[in-house]
Amino acid sequence: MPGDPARLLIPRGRAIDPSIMERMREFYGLDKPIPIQLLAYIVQTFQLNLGYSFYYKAPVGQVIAAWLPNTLVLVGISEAVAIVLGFSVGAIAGWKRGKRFDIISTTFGLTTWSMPTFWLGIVLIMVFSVRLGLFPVGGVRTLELQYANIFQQLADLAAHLILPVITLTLVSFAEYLLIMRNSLVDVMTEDFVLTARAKGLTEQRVLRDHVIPNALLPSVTTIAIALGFIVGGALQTEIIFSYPGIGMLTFQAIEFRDYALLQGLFFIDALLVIIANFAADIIYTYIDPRVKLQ
Amino acid sequence: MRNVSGFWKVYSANRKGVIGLGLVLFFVGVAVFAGLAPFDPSKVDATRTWLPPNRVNWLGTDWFGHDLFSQMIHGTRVSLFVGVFATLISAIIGTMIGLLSGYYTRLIGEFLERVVDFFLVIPYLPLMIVLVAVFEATEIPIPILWIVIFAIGVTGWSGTARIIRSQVLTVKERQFVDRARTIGASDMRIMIRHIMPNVFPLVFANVVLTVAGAVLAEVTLDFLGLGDITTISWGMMLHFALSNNAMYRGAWWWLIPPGLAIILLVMGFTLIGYSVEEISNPRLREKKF
Amino acid sequence: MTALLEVDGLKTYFRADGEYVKAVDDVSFRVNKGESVGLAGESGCGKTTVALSLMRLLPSNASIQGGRILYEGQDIVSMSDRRLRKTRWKEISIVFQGAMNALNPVKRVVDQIAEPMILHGDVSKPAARKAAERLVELVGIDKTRAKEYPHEFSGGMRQRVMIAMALACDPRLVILDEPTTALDVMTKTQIQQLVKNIQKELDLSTILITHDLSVIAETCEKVAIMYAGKLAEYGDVVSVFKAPLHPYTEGLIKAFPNIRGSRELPASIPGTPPNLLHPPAGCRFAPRCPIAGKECEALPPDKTLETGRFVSCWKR
Repeated sequence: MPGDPARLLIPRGRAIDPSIMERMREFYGLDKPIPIQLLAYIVQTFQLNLGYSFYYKAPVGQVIAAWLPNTLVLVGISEAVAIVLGFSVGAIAGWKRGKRFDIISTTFGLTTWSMPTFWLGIVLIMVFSVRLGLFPVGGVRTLELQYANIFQQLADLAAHLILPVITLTLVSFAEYLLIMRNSLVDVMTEDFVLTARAKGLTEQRVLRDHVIPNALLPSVTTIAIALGFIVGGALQTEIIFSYPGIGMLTFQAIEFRDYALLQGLFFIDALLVIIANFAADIIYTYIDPRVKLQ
Repeated sequence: MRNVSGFWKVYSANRKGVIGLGLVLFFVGVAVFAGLAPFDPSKVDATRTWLPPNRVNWLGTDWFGHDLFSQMIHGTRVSLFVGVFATLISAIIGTMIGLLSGYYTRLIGEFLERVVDFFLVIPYLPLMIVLVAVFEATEIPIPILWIVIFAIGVTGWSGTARIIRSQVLTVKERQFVDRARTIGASDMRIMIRHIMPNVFPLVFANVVLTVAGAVLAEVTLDFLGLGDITTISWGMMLHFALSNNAMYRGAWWWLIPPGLAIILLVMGFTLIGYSVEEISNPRLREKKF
Repeated sequence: MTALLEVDGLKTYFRADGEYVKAVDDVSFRVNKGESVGLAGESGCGKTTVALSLMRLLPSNASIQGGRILYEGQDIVSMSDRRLRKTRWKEISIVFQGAMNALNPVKRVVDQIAEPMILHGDVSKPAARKAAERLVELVGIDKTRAKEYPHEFSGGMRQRVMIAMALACDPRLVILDEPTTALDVMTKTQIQQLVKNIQKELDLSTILITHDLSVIAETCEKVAIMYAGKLAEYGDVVSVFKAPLHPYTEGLIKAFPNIRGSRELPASIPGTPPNLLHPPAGCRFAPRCPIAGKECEALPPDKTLETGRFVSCWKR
């Protein structure tokens, strides 16, 4: 089988004793047919046994822990901006439904959503890094630079983060824009909005105090669902920008057939999505008085 | 909106839907008439490499002298083919599981719901990549194209299942299902004759949107080098572009057009999907009385 | 006696594919101080559109195409938006059907009642909340429930809440749109009684819109009967119901079984109301009218009798 993982564990150059290889294969279950291995790793993911990484020669947990913070920063910032941008533009688009703002913003959002994430990254690099030389082409820090102080460090980090964040944000924000817009349009037809107007409130106040609080409800649930798809986008972004996060790590794990690491990564991914969903559920019980915590 | 002509009347009034349909039909046309492309896309010409758009090569050439315009035309076929067939698989799996888990709410339903949730939670891209990589490694004699289709289909059904399930649950509550049951209609009959027609519009919208996602997935897999290297697709074009440093050589004509084509095709399906959704949800319609 | 509200030749049309649906076509009536007026008619006759027109709460595809609505001498139709907002709720308020989603599901009841108070008056939030609680009590709900959310109340209670809310800024005129239609008979009676009491206590003018004549009979002094966007008859409740002039009113009254009256089967009026996109040139009720004649092919005259009664018919 190409890329036999057992090979990687033996230091290069040493003569390989076939019986040792056999025993190692047995130990790691590599002698079983592929489908069984696949099943085994799905099953083992549920046990907390994260195992040992072949490629990095360190416990999986350790490897992931080293690379995870970078991804959290990238995804955290991007999604936060995407949500704020998407919701605010979406609310205005819904309120001014059918008018120019709505059409332009929705079309723009749809266009960026239809882009392959990696392609957007490539275009941005080509324009801003190669042509204009404004931003570094990848990585998370400039290796040769010695930081004089924390500000320099942060500035360097920011410079490296800008393009990846823009990429991820642009591709994700349309989803938030659309859900907010549509739920706003739904809410606008409700009778309590008519009541609010009848009370003499200005249009802005009707929007702010009555329409938006109700439009937020289904929007929050969507965040939870959308987060599930983040990983795919983050993976592409990290690959293009050579950004050392768990997306990049996942890709390497696949390339080097490091199944133990892959198992652990899947587990962490799923865990993060579950946590995000859970958080969204909790937040929802706070904003909708009709729903109580169970 | 019981009949096709009625539906078309409403649909054609919706600008989004018409534009979307136009885009999709355009690409279908290109795919069908791909044979009319000026050059054979796999033909190489060592004397004409890295050329920007010119009179002979309308979109320029790549590192090996391939005519990019012809490649683009042929790439349409792969994207449409994979997109549609992968979605077919997703739709079938999703519909079955959705119907079953929605209709049988007890043991079977609960179990299936957990399965759906599991698949929703697993990150789809790594899973797809793993599936493709694993299958390619086993050297089972299935063409890579079908492995890709299979991988996308098998990871993309959970959205459809969820929608169908919630639709089934809603429709189930409605009275006419109870009435049908009291007359003695069997479960399967109820599902097909009563639930499906009501569920159909939203499901159709969802399926169309799934095609959009499948096309993006296919492009991504190709770009990562996991697709069939010998076939010409937009994703593959970008894959070779990147591995030959097109970015640094400023070969925008190699990098931009495939991306634009992808955007337009995906947007086409997305617009159709959203407009069908809008039509089936009376509140979202443009005119309100 | 000067009228509090005078509607003069009101025309409200809906735009549909380039043409107009004449939902309200030249309607005039008045409401005096402290008077309760019922506005009756079958669904689609335009009565809710009249109500929405009074406060200019029409949807975007409808507009007032003619006439005046004089509130204390000021024309609401031509009022500036600013003045209109000041008039809303403070002078005229409206109670929608409680079964509908007329209350904001994510706001506490007390806050929804206090909201217009804070908006229109110079009241602080705590003071407004206190006043809101008192209103809640006034409509027969326990004060402690004021801080709950709308979904925690039953349909009848939600209707009471809406009545309390309508009274928040001490308006002179309250419009009630089908206030008891979606309620069961017991609750219906309770709400009707509540409305009557409040009206007397606060010397309110009310316009009660409904298709149910019995409610009007119970609670109103005057009644206006609408048909197909026009006013058919108007007068004090007793005379109109005892001796209706317009054939349509006759038909309506006959459709309600009378417990004390002779044992007749209630009769329904044959036919359906006309299409308001292209209404007939003559009397709109003529196609269904048992006494229609040749002259009814032209629009009937508006006859106002000395007794204050009004009827729009050739034959009566």
